[in-house]
Order: sequence, then structure tokens, then C-alpha cells
Amino acid sequence: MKTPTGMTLRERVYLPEIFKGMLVTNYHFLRNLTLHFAHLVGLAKERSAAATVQYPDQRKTYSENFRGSHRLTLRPNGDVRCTACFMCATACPAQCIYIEAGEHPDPQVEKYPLRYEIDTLRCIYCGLCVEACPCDAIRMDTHVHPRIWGFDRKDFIETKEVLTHRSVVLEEQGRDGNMNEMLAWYKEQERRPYDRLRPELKTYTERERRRQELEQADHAERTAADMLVNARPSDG
Amino acid sequence: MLTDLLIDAAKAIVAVLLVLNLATVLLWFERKGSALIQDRVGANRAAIFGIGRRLGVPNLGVTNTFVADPLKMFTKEDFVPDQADRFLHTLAPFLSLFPVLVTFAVVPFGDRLIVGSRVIDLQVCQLDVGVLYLLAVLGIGIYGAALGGWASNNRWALLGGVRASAQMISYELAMGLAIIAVVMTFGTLDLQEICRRQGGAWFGWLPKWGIIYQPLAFLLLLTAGIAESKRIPFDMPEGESELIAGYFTEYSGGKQAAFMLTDFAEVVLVSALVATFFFGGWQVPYLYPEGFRLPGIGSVLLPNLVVAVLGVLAFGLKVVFFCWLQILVRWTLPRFRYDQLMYLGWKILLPLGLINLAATAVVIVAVAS
Repeated sequence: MKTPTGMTLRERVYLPEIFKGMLVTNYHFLRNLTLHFAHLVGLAKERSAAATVQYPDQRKTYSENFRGSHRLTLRPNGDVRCTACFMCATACPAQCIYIEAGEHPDPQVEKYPLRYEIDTLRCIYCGLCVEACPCDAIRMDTHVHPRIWGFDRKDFIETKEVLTHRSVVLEEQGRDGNMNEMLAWYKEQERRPYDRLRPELKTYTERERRRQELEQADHAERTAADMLVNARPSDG
Repeated sequence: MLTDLLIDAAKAIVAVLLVLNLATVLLWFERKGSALIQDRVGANRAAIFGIGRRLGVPNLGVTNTFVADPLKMFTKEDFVPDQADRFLHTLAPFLSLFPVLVTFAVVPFGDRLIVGSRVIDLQVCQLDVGVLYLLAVLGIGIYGAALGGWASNNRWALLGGVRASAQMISYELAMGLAIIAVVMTFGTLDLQEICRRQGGAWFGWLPKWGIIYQPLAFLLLLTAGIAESKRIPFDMPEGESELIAGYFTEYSGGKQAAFMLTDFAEVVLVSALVATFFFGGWQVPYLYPEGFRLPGIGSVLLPNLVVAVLGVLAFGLKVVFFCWLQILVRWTLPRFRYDQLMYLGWKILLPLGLINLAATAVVIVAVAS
């Protein structure tokens, strides 16, 4: 075998190098062991014994400019800032924003959204709606990622109430507030019965039939609403 | 007569159980220890009804290694591949585990224990040819790996088995040469006697341990021993990146557990051998059969029972230390290439062993004359 060039004699003898390597591993071993014991008795809590984050027990906070879930900003008096101008819905490449405009009681304000819904299953979190908004009414600075699971598609549609609530939470609880709330929602969902529609329906057929009935009713309801305002962009 | 038999049986059972349990503890330590070495936390999820959590005990992955894993291993399907040799396939894991376990018969784990008029030697089997027995029995272990690879009717397994036998045969030479140097130094093949001759101290303070006589042989034996146990950096036979799991690719459940246990029992064995040959076995520095004789301080007389227990504890401590050292090596070094392995075995360790042997012979003759 050809001896690789560029190695000193010490490196070629190899044993000192192994020893150096073992010093490194041993240092990590002893440091982390000491830290774990210190944590057990409540010392040195600020120094972590592992480079890993024990999600979901611990979590890393998102960076300051993290583009997360949307929120609808509020006026000082608590009203929604949005004027239902449809700029965001127009800019949206995924066509996931559904706005239903209504006349505002205050004559100074032209319109406001009766319904403002974001279908997060379609949303690609590109931020174009935020860019398009002329009155800073929609932002994505909630420091919370989108919900990743739900029981049906409805769970992923964020209504005006949800979106404005995020602004309130952000105002009151700071940047961790929305994340805490979402994790609490997850916990709540975990405790919910498997079939929240009708837990008394035991068999698969029964459940399936009931689900279809509900879906049809829902669909009929939505179609009627669409026809009424005639504002919903048609699906592709 | 019957009492002798019972005492022997008890010693054998205790030795085997200790080795098997230490091997399992090592498996646990390999998980959690490696996590500490790599700045991770390691297994900490498996629990039984969350009892530990309710009592406020941190989850140390104990349930994982000592309950969940064995349960899984022994309830899994005992799989034999199509057209594989069922008999040899079943024989291989036993042939792998058995030799390692019976090797411990000649490893002394303590000095004499005197109960009444009876003198109990704390060694399962006192053999005049202990070292030869050791090397002979270890040689059988190769068949386990080779047969496991051959009988699996799988190319990866066969490659792994061939690699394992080639590697073990190569390193057995270096191992043998290292041990022969030790045997020459102490002039006996009996491991208990080797331990006894490491008692005492030079100049009153330097323990007469084998490492002082044979530092090179120590490195050779440790290196060859790690290679024998087929662990990283010598784990080409398993080589999971290219051979899946080598010679035990086609094993599942209890048989696979036997192979895995072999690995860890071999770690214990190598530690025990290193401790016996080079670190005085059960010898505690300055402890003599009648008590401590500390240089420059004075002496403390101790009853035989305390001395024997101290000896067993010292041996256990040394074994655990070398197990720990081997696990540290495993998590420090990357795997060698196969040609590097053979180069190291035949062109470095073997010549070094021969030189060491010649030097030992010259020194012994010079000292004797």
C-alpha cells in the first residue's frame, strides 16, 4: 500500500491521533454527563447538555422575520383594518383568499369584510397578499407555523375571527402566544373522540353515510351563499 | 464431593450471569453513552404506564433496553430464508455465543476465599493450560460467523461471513503473539497464576502489573481484541452501508439477539483479558493477602473475606473501565477500509508482535544468566 503523502510521522503512527480523538469524545461525554447531573439537582439550567431540541417538550422560537400564519391587523378601536378592497385576493397566486364585502356603519369607512377566509390547504405562504395590501391590514408576523393536521378540510379554513384573534393574542401575549395557542389546540384535538361528527355512529358505513350527508349539506349551503354574493372566484 | 460440585456450579452460574448482564448493560450504555458523546439525549421515550415520570424519575431509556427490546426480540418470528440450511442456520448463533461464554471459565475474578477449612479459588475452572484453552475456544467462534454467513443463502451474508472469518483469523495471530509474550514473562499458562505473579510492587510503590513488563503487548492485545469482537473501527463483517448487516443479515428475533450479545460478551471478554494480563486482574495495588501495606504510611490488617471482596470489586472495576474504553473507541473512530484492515493486521501488528516476542526472549535470557 502506498503511504499517503503529507502526513507527519506522528500522524502515521496513528496512536497519538487516536488518543487525541478519544480526548475529544471523552470531553463531550464527561461534559454532558456532568451537565445532566447538574440539571437533575437544579444547577446550570442555562447550559444545555445536548445540541438537540426535545420537540415538542421544548421548541425553538422562530426568527424575527419568520413568515408564518396570517393575521388581520386591527385599528386602535379594535375594528378590523381591512377595507375589503380585494387586492390580496387578486394578488394571491393560489386563489386561497375568499372575501365577502359589506358596508361599514361608519360613513368615513367605505367597506369592511363580512367574511375573510384563507384556505390554508391552498395557501403557499408566499406573502404576496401582505405585499399587495395598501392599508397594512394583513401580516404574516405571528411567529406560528400553519396548522399541520386537522380532522377535515374545514379545520384548515381560517376565518376572519381566527385571523383577528391572532392579532389580539400577539398584542396581549407576545410572540409565543399564537404558538402556545396552537399547541393547546392540538392537545385539545387529541382528546376529542375519533369521529367528532357523530360518536354514536359505530360502523364505518354509518359514519361514511353521515359524513357524505354533512358534506352535501355544507356544499349546498356554500353554493347558495356564492350565488347570493356572486363574488367567489370560480375554482380553476 | 457434592459440596465441591455445588460450589463449582454456583461459580459458573454467577460468572455467566454476570457476563450476560454486563453485556446488556453495555448495550444500554452504548445507547445513552453514545448520545452523550454526540451531544444528544438518546432513548428517553419508552415507559411502562409512565410510572417513572409520575415518580419524578428521569427516563434513562432503561425500559427501552431492558424490557422493550428483549420482548421484541423473543416474540419475533424465527425466520429461516428459503433454501437455507435450517440446521446450520440455527447452529450458527449458538456456535458464536457459546465459545465466548465458556472462555470466562478460566478467567479468575478474585483471589482465594477461605470458608472454614475450605479454600475456594475464585475462578470457575482452574486449568494449567488456561491460555491455550482460551485461544482454542476463541478460535471456534469464527465458525459461528462463517456458518451464519454461509447458511443464510444470501450473498451479503456470505460476504460478511467470509470477511469475518478472514479478519478473525488475521487478528488471532497478533492476539496470540501478544499473549505468548505475556506467558513468557510470567512463565505460566494458568491465568490465576499470572494474576498472582502480578502482586507486589517494585521499589515499594510501583505495582508489578503486566503493563510495566509488556506495554507493546498491551496495545497489540487491545487492538486485536477489538478487531476480534468485530466492532468499529473493525466492523467490516457487518459493514451496514454495503452489506446490510453482514453475516447476520438473515437472522431475526432470538438468534439475532444471540449474535448481538456475542459482540458485547466479546467486549467484556477482551476487557477481562486485558485486565488479567496487563492490569493485575483482581490485584489491588498495595493489597496483600493479609491486608494493605501502603508504602511510607504503614499497614492495615484485613480479614480474608474483605480482601477477597476487594479483589472481586477491583477486577469488576477494571473490566468495566476497559469496556468503557472500547465503547469510547467505537464512537471515536470511523471504519477502516478492508485493505487497511489487512495491512494493519499482517504488516504492522504481526511484525510488532514478533519483535516484541524476540525482545522479551532476549531480556528473559539476559536476566536469567
